[in-house]
Amino acid sequence: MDNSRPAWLYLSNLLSRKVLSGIEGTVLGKLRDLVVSLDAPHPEVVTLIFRPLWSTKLSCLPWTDVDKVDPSGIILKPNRTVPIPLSEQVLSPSHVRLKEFLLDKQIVDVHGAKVERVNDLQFVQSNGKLVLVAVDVGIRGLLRRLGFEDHVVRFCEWFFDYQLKELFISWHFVQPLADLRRLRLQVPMGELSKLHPADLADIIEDMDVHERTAMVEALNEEILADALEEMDPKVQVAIMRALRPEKAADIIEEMAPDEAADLIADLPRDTVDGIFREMDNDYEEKVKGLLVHDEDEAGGLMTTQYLTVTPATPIIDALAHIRSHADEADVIYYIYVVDDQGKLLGVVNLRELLSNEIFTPVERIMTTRMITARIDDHAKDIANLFAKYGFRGLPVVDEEGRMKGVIRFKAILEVLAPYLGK
Amino acid sequence: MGHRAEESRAAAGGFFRRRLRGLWVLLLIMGPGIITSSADNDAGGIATYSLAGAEYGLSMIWLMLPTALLLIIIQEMCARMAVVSGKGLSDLIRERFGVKYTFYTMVVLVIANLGTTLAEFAGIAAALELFKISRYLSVPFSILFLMWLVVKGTYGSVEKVFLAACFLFVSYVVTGFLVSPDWTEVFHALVSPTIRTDPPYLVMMVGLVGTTVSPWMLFYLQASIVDKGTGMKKDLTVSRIDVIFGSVVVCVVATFIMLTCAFTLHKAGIQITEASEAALALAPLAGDYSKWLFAFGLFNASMFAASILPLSTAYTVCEAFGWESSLDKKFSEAPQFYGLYCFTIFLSGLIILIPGLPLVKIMYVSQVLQGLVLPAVLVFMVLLVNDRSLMGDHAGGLVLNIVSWGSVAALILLNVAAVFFSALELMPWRL
Repeated sequence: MDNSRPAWLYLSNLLSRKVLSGIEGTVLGKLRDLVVSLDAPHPEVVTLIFRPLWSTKLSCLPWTDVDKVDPSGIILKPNRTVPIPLSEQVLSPSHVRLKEFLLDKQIVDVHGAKVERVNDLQFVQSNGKLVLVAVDVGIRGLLRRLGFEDHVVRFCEWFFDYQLKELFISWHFVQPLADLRRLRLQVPMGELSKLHPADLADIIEDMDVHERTAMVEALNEEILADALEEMDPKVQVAIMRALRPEKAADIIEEMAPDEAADLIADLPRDTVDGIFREMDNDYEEKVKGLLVHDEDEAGGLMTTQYLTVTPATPIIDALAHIRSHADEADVIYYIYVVDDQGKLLGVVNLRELLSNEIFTPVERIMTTRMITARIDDHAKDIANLFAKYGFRGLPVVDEEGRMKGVIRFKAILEVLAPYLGK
Repeated sequence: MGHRAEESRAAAGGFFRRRLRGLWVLLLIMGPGIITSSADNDAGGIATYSLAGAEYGLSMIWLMLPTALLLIIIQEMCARMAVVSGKGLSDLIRERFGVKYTFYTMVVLVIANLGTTLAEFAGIAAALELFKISRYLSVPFSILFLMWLVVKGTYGSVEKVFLAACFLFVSYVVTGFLVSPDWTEVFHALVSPTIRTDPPYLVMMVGLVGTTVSPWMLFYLQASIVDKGTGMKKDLTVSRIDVIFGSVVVCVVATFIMLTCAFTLHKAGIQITEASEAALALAPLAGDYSKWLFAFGLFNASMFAASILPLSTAYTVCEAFGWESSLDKKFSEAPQFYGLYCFTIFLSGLIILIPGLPLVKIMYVSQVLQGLVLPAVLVFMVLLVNDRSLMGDHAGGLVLNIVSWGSVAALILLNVAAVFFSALELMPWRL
């Protein structure tokens, strides 16, 4: 046998092949499905499922009984075991039926950060083993299933001088979505949580409700909160409504308060009540404070997670303050200087803190000529301020000059995005 | 203390302000069921109901009772599948039946939808010709308008305008009462089925069922419910009420269109070949303005459906094959989606510009086509709704199964009979 070139096989070609007992042997039945084990990094086919002749019940055999895969059929070894009827108990939890749970279903391409539909599965055959290497999500996979691949490929080459491309996703980058509750125990979600939150948000938006629920259960709150901030409001609402209030509250607490307020404003009453009951009191106050304001006013755009120091604080303490609050603060590039009434006196940015002598009090280096917004300033005016001055955050003050919050550049970008040309 | 109380009252005020806006949006959105039903009374629908009334008087009105029942059953199945599985219909067909069945279903569906889009353009052309606007002007402008909708993404707000204008159909109900029909006669016609085996009658039956329970509408309905859903039990009740209400409304309007045409056009012996003749049905209500009323209603209905149907077709097909499908994407990111959308609109728009096409006939024939495709889609739906691994406890019960399989069988029988007898008529040895 020629072993120099790996032999590619496709699930679509294998399914409905005859299962034969030996070269000249009798037909046992037709192949219906293959089972792979996800224990190893390269999933190997461990079991074949076939429908015996004159029977409606499926049977299965271990792959080790297969002598070779031939165009005429799947030929079994002479000393094979006796087929056993298929049942849930036969398959261990890490074993997955390919046709049942992968073919035609949706998967996440973790590499390209997209949800795709599986048109076919590609195997490589070596030393009698059949290893799943990739899923086919391209047009050629579709054509292969329809039985037109050769004709269409040849026609395209002849008529358009165009080579129809294969489109495979290597198994390493595949996260199956069907039967996620069972599968997530086997396939590490790690790859997914490494994605950029905006990509993860796109992926979750493409899922159906059950996949979303399973996904939300599997990911941790911090990652979810980041992804949720990037999502379409309609999807945010759908996800929140389907969650237990405790879980929903946990996730929301990880979000920036301004984003959380926007989200909560869109939720139905009963869901909101449930979430507030479970929420941390401090955070609840903050969010409720923001809910007073309209979404397109300064008050609705600002976050309340910012850092303040008193005028006499030396730089070294200010830096320590940043360091100790860095993970919950939404704005860390600016540190605001306020008096004991909370009145805004000035602002210092990180660059200034780092480039001055560490025992200097911040009042010596702070900028006192400040551009601020009033709580009821409209988003349009604020956007103009950002465009004119090019800063990253804009402090919001009330009539007495007391600091109320900071509008981040990001919040303004979200207001503006719909007006940007495609 | 007082300060705090005031603050919390202000907080509550702001909260309610935001919530009120949410409520307003909710009212504007309404249920997918009622939107789908409104889009269902499109150019093809108006033409088919008018023709049925004008041609056969009250003798076809009985069909609306079983059709209404079928519509409710089928739409409820859509709602149930949407809420329980969280997936669209073409998605489910693909996952359950594989590429081959999906491919051929989609081919047939696209052809039927092309026909119906053609009908919508025919409706636009016919309506505006009543206003003395040439179709060579109205159709290209409509195409431009539909393109603009997608490019500008103002689809949502325009949809609400169309939806509000669907209220015009009430004029048929009012006219129905104005012509003061003999209600006992109407009731008798409703409950005593007249079945004839002459091909035109059978074909008309197929058309009536096809326009009321259009396959494209089922895909659209399920997609819209999925879009709103959260997969929770209480959503199912809301959706059920929504689709049942929508189904009843559409069937009542349809019945009144037939009734009105029966008592005006059929009594006067007028055959509909032009839209202006169909408009006469509204004469008892609007007199000389009936033409305007009809034209405006027809134009709105056609435009509404024309703005939904090509989009729905593109979504359905792309969902089945796993292609990118979203209005948020650029053309280069979702070429199949936009390609299909443009193809549907341009092809049907251009065909309608062929000189001398009989517009009313096109509207009617397209609905017969939908009626012929319907059984295929229904078989998939009934199989899916009975799949316990998919539907769990929400799989169909025994009674519902008997009714649904019975309807499918009756429909197939009707379609086969219509095709068979029509083919017989066309055979040379009969001539």
